[in-house]
Order: sequence, then C-alpha cells, then structure tokens
Amino acid sequence: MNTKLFLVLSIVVSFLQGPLLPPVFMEGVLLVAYLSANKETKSLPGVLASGLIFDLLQSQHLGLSSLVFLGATFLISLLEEHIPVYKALSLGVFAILINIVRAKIVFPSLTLPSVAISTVVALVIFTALLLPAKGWLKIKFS
Amino acid sequence: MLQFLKMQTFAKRTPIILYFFLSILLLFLDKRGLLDIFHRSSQVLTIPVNTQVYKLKKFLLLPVQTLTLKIDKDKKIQELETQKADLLSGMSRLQSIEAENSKLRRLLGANIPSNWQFEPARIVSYSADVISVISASTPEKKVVAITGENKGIFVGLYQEMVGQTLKIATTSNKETRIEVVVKNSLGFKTATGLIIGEGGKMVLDQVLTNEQINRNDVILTSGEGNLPPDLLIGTVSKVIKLDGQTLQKAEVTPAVDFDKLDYVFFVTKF
Repeated sequence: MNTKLFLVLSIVVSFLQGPLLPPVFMEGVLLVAYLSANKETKSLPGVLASGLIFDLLQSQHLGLSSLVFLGATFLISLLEEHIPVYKALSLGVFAILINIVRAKIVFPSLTLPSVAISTVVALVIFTALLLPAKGWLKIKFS
Repeated sequence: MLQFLKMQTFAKRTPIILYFFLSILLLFLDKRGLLDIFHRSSQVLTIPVNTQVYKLKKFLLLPVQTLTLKIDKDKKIQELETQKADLLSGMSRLQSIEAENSKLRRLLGANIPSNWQFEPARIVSYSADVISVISASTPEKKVVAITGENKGIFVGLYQEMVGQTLKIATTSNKETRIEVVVKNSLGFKTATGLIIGEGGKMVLDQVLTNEQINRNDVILTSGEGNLPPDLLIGTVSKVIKLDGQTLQKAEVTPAVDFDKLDYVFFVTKF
C-alpha cells in the first residue's frame, strides 16, 4: 500500500466513521497495513498526515490521532527486532490495540469491547478486499 | 563502542521524535484555538457531507427500526415518505433552517416556563454518546440542550466547540453526572439520586434503599448544579437492589431516541 492510497483511504474512512460507521473502526487496520508495506522513516509523513486527516474530518483536536498513530509506529519498529510483527495475527492484535487506544483518548465514551469487535469486523472486511493473492483488489504491500 | 551504538540508536530514532514533537505542538496550538481556521475551512466540506451521510444512515436504519417497532402500516408508509422527502429536499432544508427553527421553538414552548430562553441548534451527527450540532451562537460550557413538544426533555450538556461544530454529551456519555428526582405515576417525588452515563446506557445511582423506586417511574432534573429543573430524562426500566447495601440503583430508558432528533435547543436562560 503506497502513501497516496493510504491517505485517500484515510479520507474516505474518516468521512464515513461517525455519521455512518462506528467512530473508531478502520484506522487500526489501515495503519498496520500501511506500516507493513513501508519502512518506518519513509512512512512517518504519511502516518502524521493520516492522523491529521482523521482529526480534521472527525472534528477532533489536531494532533491527537497523529500521536496515537506515531506511538503505534514507534512500538512496531521497536518490536520488529524481537518478534515477527508482520504476521497476520500480530497485525490483527496491533490493529485492535491502536483502535482501543485511539477510542480511549479521542472518544472516551466508547466501550472497549465494542471497539474490539468493530475492529475485528473491519479486519475481516479489509482482508477480504485488500490482501494480496487472496483479495479482489490485489494491492502490492511492498 | 557502547556510546557509539547509543548515538546510532538515537540518530535512528530522531525523525520519529521530531514527528512526535510536531504532533504535540499541533495539539497544543489547537487546544488554544489557534488552529481554528483549519477546522472552519474543513467543516465547509465536512458538515454538509456528514449531514447527508447521517441522513443516509437514518434512511438505511429505518427498515430495521420499523421491523422492531410495532407500527401500523399507514404510519410506516408515512414515515418512509417523510424520510424520502427529507433526503430529496436536503439542500432546500438547509436554506430554510431559520424558518424551521422558529416553528420548532414555538412547538417547544408548551409546558415550559415562559421566561426560559432558547437557542436552536441543528444536529449534524450523533455517535459515541456525543451529538454534533451547528448553531448561530456559542453557548457557555455545561449549558443544557433540550428537545420536546409537550414536556421539556433533557438531551445533554454542551461540552466544547471544535471549529463551528458544538459537541453535546448525551445522558449516556461517560462524563455525564446529573442530580435528579424520581417521581411516581401520580407525580409525587419518591426519591433523589444521580444519573450516571456508562457509555451507551445510563443508570440511576446513589438512591437510598429506604426510598421507593419502581419500574416506569419518571426521572427529572432536580434543578441542582445550575441546571434547569423538571426536565424529563427518562423512565426507570429495572431496579437493582443489593442485599446489605445502603444504596440502590436502577437502569434507565432515555426519554428520547437521539438518532431521531433533527434539532435541539440550548437553554440560555431559565
């Protein structure tokens, strides 16, 4: 997934999240998919921009989501030296964690189980649509 | 050697540290309202889009709601036609907001003290126990938002303004704490307590066990905490009594379905 596609998906998703979908839904999945395809240093501008897009289009204070996303990027880059973070299971866990942390910080009224369930739903949808070889769109990840 | 490795690790981490600082700086500036121009500019696009998407959600949910509610066929058709008309006349409705507001304000007048003053606000979206509205003026913090025709119904408390969107924490929001009175079907006060939002639901708490609360009792604002009195919050749906406890609780059904609201009114004077 390249940066342009990541940012376009961020815009589309942030428009739908809130009025139509749960306010925290796809961002964790999008972010881990983007990070799995790009090196940390190369992905930082995209991660920051995506966070700002989410904050701006969901009428939240600018920088909140960026901090969460950058924190996740930092954590993944630290862990990748020690554990295989780019396995499907690890990515799923990271996606759920990112959504839970963002929900806790940006939308405190959301209950954690509902965030976790919605992330799993998003993960299933995303996997069906985008995973290379299996998915319909066949987007290159690296 | 060790120092060289440490320096190398620090150099490797420098970009992400810079990005962290940039985010914190943006957050700091935005909290102080210095980036409001960005919110206002983006909301020129997001408010109409969010309004349309929210209406689409209501339209999509309508069949599910009609299945769950036992409404007669004529009423179903009437509601569907109203929804359809709402979607088709979206743009023209935006232009006639002022006229609609004054009509709704007249409707709201019933059974509410005549000295109360209101400021209308149009709902943009509702999610995560927060209602986003736009209004011609900005109320003070913690101002009450209400709706209703025959009785004033408590909707929530104004939280903050982001760009031109005002955020209202509904009764089920985790930050909500309201002092209330409970009245029975005869209209007599039977208990006092606290409405606490639990994220998606609300409970009546801090009620002494020697006070009477029953199913279908109504819950109204007490007037304490600088809130207007006698606004309907909901009805008791289930009483929870714990053995040996001095306090009892109750689950509460809200008096209003937030998903069905189009407008709310800030009570600016009471």
